Amino acid sequence: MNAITLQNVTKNFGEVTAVDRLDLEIREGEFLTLLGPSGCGKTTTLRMIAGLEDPNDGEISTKERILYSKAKGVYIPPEQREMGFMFQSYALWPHMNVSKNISLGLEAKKLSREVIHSRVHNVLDQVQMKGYENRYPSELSGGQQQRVALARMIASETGIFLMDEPLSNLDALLRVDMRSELKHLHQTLGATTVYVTHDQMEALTLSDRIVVMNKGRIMQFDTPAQIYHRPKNLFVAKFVGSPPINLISGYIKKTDESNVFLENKDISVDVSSSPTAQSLADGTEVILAIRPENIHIGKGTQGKPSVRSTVYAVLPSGSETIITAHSGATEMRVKVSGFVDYAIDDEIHLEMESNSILFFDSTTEELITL
Amino acid sequence: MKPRYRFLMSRLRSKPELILSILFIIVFSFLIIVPFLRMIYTTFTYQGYDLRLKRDAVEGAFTLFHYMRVFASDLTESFLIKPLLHSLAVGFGVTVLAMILGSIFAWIFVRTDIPHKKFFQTVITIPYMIPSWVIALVWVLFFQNNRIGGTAGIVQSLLGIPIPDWLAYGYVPIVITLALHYYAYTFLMISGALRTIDSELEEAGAVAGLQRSKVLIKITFPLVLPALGSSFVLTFTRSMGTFGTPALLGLPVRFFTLPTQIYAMINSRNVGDAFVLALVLIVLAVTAILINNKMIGVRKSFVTMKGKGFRANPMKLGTSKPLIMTFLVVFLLLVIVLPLIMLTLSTFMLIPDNYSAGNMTSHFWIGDSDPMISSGQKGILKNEGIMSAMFNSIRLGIISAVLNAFIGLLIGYTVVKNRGTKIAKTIEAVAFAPYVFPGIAFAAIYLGMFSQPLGPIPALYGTFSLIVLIVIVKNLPFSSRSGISAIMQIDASLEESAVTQGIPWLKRFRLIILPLSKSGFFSGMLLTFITSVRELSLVILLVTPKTELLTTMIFAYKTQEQTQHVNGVTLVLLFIIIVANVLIRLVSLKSKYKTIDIG
Repeated sequence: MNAITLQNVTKNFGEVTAVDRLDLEIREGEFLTLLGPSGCGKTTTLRMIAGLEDPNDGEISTKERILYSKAKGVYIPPEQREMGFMFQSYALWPHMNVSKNISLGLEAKKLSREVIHSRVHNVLDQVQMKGYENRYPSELSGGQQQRVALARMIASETGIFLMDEPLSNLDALLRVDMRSELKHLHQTLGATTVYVTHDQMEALTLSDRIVVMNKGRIMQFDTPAQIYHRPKNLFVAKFVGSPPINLISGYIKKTDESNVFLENKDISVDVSSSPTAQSLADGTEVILAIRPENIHIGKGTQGKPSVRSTVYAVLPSGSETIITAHSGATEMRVKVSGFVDYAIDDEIHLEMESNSILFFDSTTEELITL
Repeated sequence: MKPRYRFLMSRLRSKPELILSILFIIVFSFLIIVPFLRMIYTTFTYQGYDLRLKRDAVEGAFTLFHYMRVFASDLTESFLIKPLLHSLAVGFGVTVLAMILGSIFAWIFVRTDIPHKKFFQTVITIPYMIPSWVIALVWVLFFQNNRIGGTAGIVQSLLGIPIPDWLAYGYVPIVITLALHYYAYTFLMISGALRTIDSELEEAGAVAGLQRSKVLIKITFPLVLPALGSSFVLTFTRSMGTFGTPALLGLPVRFFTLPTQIYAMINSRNVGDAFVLALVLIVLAVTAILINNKMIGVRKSFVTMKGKGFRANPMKLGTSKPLIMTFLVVFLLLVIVLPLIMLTLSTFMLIPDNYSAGNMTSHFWIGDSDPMISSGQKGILKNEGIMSAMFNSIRLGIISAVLNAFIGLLIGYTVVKNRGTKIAKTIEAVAFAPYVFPGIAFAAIYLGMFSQPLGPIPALYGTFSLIVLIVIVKNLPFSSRSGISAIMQIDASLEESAVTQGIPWLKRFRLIILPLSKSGFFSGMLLTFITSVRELSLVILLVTPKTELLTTMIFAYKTQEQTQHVNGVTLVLLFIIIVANVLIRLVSLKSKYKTIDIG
């Protein structure tokens, strides 16, 4: 059952199309992330679900009712949509203390005093902010403000949570903490959550499914694992993963029935062990893509996809080390675990895992599948 | 068609900014645009007054008669050229003097280590709060001569120095007294600009080997030049269009500026010609504002505003400190303390130019009616007329302060929420339009417009409501500006989070927007109160004996040459302004709440 459905939703800001004929089905209880660079339409999509922005066309509905449909002439104002929304700036009211910040929306729902009191108490307990009821937002740290904003959203008991980059104002350490809080909370409450972020790591760690967006369109809608390992197109491949995926442009060269190479003016990689490569015609222009952790430093075994290159820089970061290496104008990044040491200009062989190699069509930039 | 209509209506209902837009467009059209069009229409038609001058004229018929008379007739010289040149000369003289004074004070208070900065700065901006023509009254008190104004002023009667007419009335005193009011504006603007200049820029010049005077000329001056230009234009337009002072110091010697000429024409029922002159004044003001906007455009790319805190190292005055301190103290004594003392003293003197102790009396404050003194007027505190005027003034001040603050906030909300759209720009521009309307001409239009019932509005002729209405409309430029800036300071998400919590609009406005814009709200209320109670040219045509205000009372007493009553009622007015100031300050101090930074 879908908790929220978007059909053919379009939003223009003047000349700019922020969201372009978007179709999206959000399942009940899932944690769905809208991921993309700034200006890709992810926040606009979220705000349209909440009703803070009106689409120019299309239909938005929940499982119970249509929220917006130009064709059917239905419009439910944001005040009546019953969705929790969390803002990037937290949007706590500076002139109200913590408990008033939480109870104001409940009072508008005409709940009894006792219910409001117990809800405020419960949600503050859930976000570990008990004892802060009478503080004002200015008297709280960024992380605490965040928790209050979360509590305010939970208190409304709406069943649908919309979050607009809620962690982006926190420092790196706190962000990691809050991620596990959010994930835990989602699993205990089971509320349908739509989460907007430009941080691919955040999307991968939190989500059940991810929508990668660019220029108002969906680039891929899939599970984190699929998004990471089987990016549908070059945009998703490049956007997800850190350090970014390695890309080598070239063309397919078949020397005989079973030997296939990817060649460009710098290198020639033996890709015979990749079934996808085997299926490609001689001379096809492709882009080879491989994640840095799927490359190993080896001896250059015959018949394996490997490249000879020279070390450009070594960047250790404790648990892992990133090595940048050059083969002519082609740059490659390799991720190895622990500390390793190479001198600049050392010669190394980069061996790729055959079944991790992806090929993208040079012109359509789509993933080539068997 | 029906579902489409329902769809539009349901969307409209949840968009208060759109409902407000429609409301404002309707109301503004009626209260601002229609009057302006009526003014133009009047200039192109024969008026009742014209029938005496032109036998074959038909009232209401189209004509270029007024334009011919004002721009190309024997009367052009006295109707247009002279008042126009006088207005320009007054504007220019006042602006130059005010800029010099304002720049000196700005430099002293922003850039030097002068002691008691806070105190001096507060006192020096007092003229900002009091009506500009109060200083003109004081001038009369000192420099009146017995050839024109009846009794002699203090200088002549005490020191025996005969005062020539040019020093008593006309151009010179008008310029001086207005400059002593408007320097407070230039001071505030220039010191604001000076404060934004990083003194590191000046220090860099010093390090590069420039002398102090060179630094001032080559670095500081160019940096504040845009601000200087903009305060020049604003002071020029305001002083050119002012009414009270040229009326008090110009009319006795038939020195007309455009506003007083318009007043004289309207008084003699010649509205057609008056409105042509009003349009001339409007064109001048609009031109000046357009020039100013262009300059502010330059300034934005100019002024070195940075996020990082910068130092403004005060210059050590050293040996010149006593000299500058003396200058400040003498200035304040001469311009603020002495005038107030003499104004007060004059209300206790039975015969205006007799300074002996035996001439002292409290009659003008608490005396009963005496047919021998001031035409039998009762003392100010016992005078029902003055008390009723005081009540009316306070009532006007409070009503317009509260309503203008609310309307301003609503305009701000509408403009900010619709930001970037044509609707927002239109509302903002129309709300600013009354700024350029000459008060008297505007009042004359309202008088005509509301003399009969208009749709649901009853005839407002002679009512207090009409005065309140026109004062509110005339205050719109200021209150909409402050409303816009107040709303802009509230992050949009603060209201949106209330929307998603299901809190309806009225509640959001009352519980979130209003409290968050409180500080701007109160300071806006104070300024509106002050401008409303000191309003003269706008209300002078509209008052009746019942709706008389303190300012119009003062003006009436002045024409009857009842000096003690003029000065006494002026003191009452000043007292009200001071009390309002103190009250608002107390309230806004109490209402300070904690704020957070929103990223």
